[in-house]
Amino acid sequence: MDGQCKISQGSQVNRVSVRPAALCLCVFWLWTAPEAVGQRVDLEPRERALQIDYAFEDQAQAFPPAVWDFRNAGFARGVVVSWELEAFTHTRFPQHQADADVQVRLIRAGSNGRWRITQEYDATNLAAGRESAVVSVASDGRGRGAAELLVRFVIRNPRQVAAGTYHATVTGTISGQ
Amino acid sequence: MSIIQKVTGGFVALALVACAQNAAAQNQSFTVEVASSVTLTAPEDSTIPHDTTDANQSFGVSNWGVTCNNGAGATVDFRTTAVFVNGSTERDLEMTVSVVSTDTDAGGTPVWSVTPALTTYSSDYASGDRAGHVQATSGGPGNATLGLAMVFVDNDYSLLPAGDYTVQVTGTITSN
Repeated sequence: MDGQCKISQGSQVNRVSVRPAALCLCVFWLWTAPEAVGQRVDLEPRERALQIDYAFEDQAQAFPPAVWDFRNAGFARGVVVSWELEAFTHTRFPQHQADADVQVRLIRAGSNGRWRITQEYDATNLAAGRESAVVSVASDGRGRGAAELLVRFVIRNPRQVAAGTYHATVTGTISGQ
Repeated sequence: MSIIQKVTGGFVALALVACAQNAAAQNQSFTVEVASSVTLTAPEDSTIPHDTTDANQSFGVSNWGVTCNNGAGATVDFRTTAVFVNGSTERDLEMTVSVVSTDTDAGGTPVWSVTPALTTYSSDYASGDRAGHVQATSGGPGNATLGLAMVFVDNDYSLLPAGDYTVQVTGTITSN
């Protein structure tokens, strides 16, 4: 019994050694609490897919504006919303690709958060090996916003656009600052 | 488990939840449909007068317009099913295909080329060879002008019955 009591005492010593870690976590918690409590960010495109028919005449053909809604309900210091657009790739003949460009416009900046554009325009450049383009907006506080992406299908020579279906994906990401 | 351990575990769990909500991502797709455009346009019919010599009679080069945006290119085939005919009189023909102009691909390589084994066809009606073809092909999207040179083959004008000698060439384009 004595031995077991000693072991029990030993575990008490262990508890003491845990305390610094607990204190560190408390400090960490207090430091992050204003951000973590009720923290929610999300974004959503109003349409999952957009499609156009190529008209051959134009060297850059625009899609209808693609509207995205986003919300920062958690980060007091704001968030960054970015969109990465791939170059267009032929679904049957992947060796046939087409450049894409994208412009972002804020259509709802809200009264809170002070949304602003941080990267308004970008374009792929397949000839130079650049296969994606990125645009972004940011806020300096909590709030809702909406932006539209103006995506264009850009080709080198309209006569040499392979028939068929070209596909590109935009990935939107919202993250706290 | 001690109270301190429980509380510590709670902090860790909450911290993990907080980290898991730091970002979100969504996708949106953009699709472009490009219609097919594969065409072959024949030139006007060609007529020449015989120059009354014993030499072969050349029609020169006739230009055929080609458009093609098929991803794997196309093949143009020029075919004859008979030789030059004037009533019951026949004379041989020789036809040769060439690429007058062609788009180039992104690397600068011409899109269209003549199929090496099918550049020239020479008939031999005396041996029963009255049908043949020549061919050009492409490896990807691109337009071209193909030239077809037709020759009326005869080496003795004094034995050539008067009249019109006619042959028809049929061009066909097929996606690869």
